[in-house]
Amino acid sequence: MRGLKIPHRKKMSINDIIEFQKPKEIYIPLICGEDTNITIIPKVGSYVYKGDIVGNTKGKIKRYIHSSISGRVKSIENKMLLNGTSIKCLIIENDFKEQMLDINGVKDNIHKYTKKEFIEIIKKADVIGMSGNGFPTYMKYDTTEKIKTLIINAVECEPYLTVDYMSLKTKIKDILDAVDAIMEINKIDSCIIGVNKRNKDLIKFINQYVGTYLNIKVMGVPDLYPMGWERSLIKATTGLSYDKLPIEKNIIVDNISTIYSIYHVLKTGLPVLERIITLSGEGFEKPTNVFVKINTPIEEILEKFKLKDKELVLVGGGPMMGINFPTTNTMVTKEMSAILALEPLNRIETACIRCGKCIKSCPAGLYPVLIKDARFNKKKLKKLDLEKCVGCGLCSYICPARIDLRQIVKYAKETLKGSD
Amino acid sequence: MIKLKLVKKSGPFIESNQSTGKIIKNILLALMPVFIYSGIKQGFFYLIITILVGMISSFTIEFLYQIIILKRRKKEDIIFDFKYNYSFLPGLLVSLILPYGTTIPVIIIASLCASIIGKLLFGGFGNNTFNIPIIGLLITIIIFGGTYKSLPLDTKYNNDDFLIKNIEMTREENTIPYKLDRLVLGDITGSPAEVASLVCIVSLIFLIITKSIKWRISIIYISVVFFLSTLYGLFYYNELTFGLVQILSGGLLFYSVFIASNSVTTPVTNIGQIILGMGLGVLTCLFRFITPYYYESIIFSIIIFNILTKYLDNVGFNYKKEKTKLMLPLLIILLISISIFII
Ligand code: SF4
Ligand code: SF4
Repeated sequence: MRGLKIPHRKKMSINDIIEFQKPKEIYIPLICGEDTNITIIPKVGSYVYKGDIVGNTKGKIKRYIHSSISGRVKSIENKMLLNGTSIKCLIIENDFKEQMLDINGVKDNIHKYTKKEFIEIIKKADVIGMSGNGFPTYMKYDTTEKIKTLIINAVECEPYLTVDYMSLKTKIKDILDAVDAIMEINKIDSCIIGVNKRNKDLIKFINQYVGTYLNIKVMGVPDLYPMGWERSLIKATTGLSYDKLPIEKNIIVDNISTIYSIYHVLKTGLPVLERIITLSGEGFEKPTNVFVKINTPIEEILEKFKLKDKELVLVGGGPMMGINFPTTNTMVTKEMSAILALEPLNRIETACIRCGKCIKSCPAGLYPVLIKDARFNKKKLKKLDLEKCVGCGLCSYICPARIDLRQIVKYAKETLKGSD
Repeated sequence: MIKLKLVKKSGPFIESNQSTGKIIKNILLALMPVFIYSGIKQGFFYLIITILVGMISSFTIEFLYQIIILKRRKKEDIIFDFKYNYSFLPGLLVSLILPYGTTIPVIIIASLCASIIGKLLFGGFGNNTFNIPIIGLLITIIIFGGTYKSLPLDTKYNNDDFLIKNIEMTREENTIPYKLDRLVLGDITGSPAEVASLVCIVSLIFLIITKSIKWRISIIYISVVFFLSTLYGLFYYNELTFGLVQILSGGLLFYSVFIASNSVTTPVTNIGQIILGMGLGVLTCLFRFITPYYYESIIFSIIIFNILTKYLDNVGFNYKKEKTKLMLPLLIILLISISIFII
């Protein structure tokens, strides 16, 4: 198994999940995945209910944008996304009434859906992969292939992050109920919950509950980064590898946060409006996890959860793959699993010493140092399998000369794309 | 609006505890046993003077080069060069591999050659094609021929007593002209590196544990030489210890641990490193057994493989898709090893 042992630094935020459900405003970015061609539904000044669809994509893949609070549309302004692009946002002022238009009522039994209904519901509710990739979840289930195994990704190989851990610890019954329902609805044979094998207490804890679910089991996977990468996880839990998509091997992988949001969707009929995120890092006075509304402004969160008074880097996501946001004028999104406040590193790039460590650590089997050497040589680049890079950042992490190889690989990829 | 001191950085936001500085520090630490052992054998005063002369020469010339030729005169540039160019290293290593009793002017010249020709002309730290100390040594040998050794300060031992000068001669007599116990203990008139052969094993273990060198090269190099020369010894002398003699003499252990596995001038892939180790092993044996230049055989092997580094990189990377790419280098290695026994 390829990968590296990297620090965990998780203990500091393992304490509680604090509710933070009353933002004064929310900023709803009008974007779905990469698609910014969105029909905006409410006008400025009009009232929206909690769970209302406020926008939808025009393209072939229909996706919906919801409001996580009720209140008036204050304005449409440009705000920064994590990746630095400026995007049109609906600003909604919270009236704190949590008004909902069509209340379906809370269901006792979340198993009573047909597969078709299930897919329709999670599509309408815009359930997406909640640990980074943001891929619509219904697309995975909407298949004619037989799904044999559902693998739940609770590995959380990124340091600092404890969302999966805390979700399992506090919501285990709901999660298992949701898994059971998903399995029944989609006629899935078995389910494996993948957890870092170092978390012995967690495995023990889950095992106390899975007893009644015969087809669900917990499995410890090696303590390596990036074990949460689908390919690694599938390999570690089932021994299988696939070419393009896991469904080739009759497998679906879902993150634990996604499962938890499916639970809510099935239970209440409401779309995905909340998520758990980790607030951690040396810069937070009290690292913890919070249960927040999607699209809560980061600023409001940081007003409540104080940062230390020193130079800090704010990161959305984990420290390996997350993105630095230089401004706090941005918002929580569904894919955002954490806000980290970290001490800035002083990376001074020096000459490559050709140690080969970047090659040994690359989980995708690439040769970052050779890519670096060939970065102006398109012919050579073509042979170096650039498209296989998953952006895990291990090469940059390990490089003793502190060369940001991931960035170089990314540029090389763009160079190649430009030439075709 | 809350006030924050935010810094803009790109990820990853954590980094490994491996750094070039640490690797060099580990190599220096690994040199300590060598230093101590040679010091005991050859005298600390002599050793310290030799090393200091080498280090200062290299350091000074690089400093001058940066300031005069590259015109790096800003304070931060000077500090950067000072911190990240490790300009004392060429001289340090050269002084350890020059023979015992080398005079101070020769040490200076060797160090300067290593720094200037081996390193600076190639573009400085990390850009050299050839192994830096080896270049220093090689040029010294070329300039001074056999005379660079001047008089051994210590006449306790007679060189010819145990150093195999010409295998051809001895082969006929069917004896091996050495005393194994002396080789093991380093009671010989070699360079500090040669004397401390045995303690290099300690250094090797330390470097492997701290992941500071490309250990595959060292281990395979040593193993191949050991294996081939044991066979050779059995074949021609009916003598089991010949392999041991070979790895203990000529500073082979030191070279394989500190010089041949040098990170900049060797292949980056595991496969490349394995082939390099094998190649160095067979070439060294070949040179040793067919030429009288016993001691230089390692140097030439290393230089030859420095040229082949890029090729081995290519082999290492292509072999995943086309396993046949491995055939050529392996075939050549096999041929050389066979030829050792025939010539
Ligand atoms: S890890 Fe860094 S120093 Fe080592 S080979 Fe790769 S790029 Fe060069
Ligand atoms: S970022 Fe890309 S090239 Fe670097 S280690 Fe990860 S997969 Fe490999």
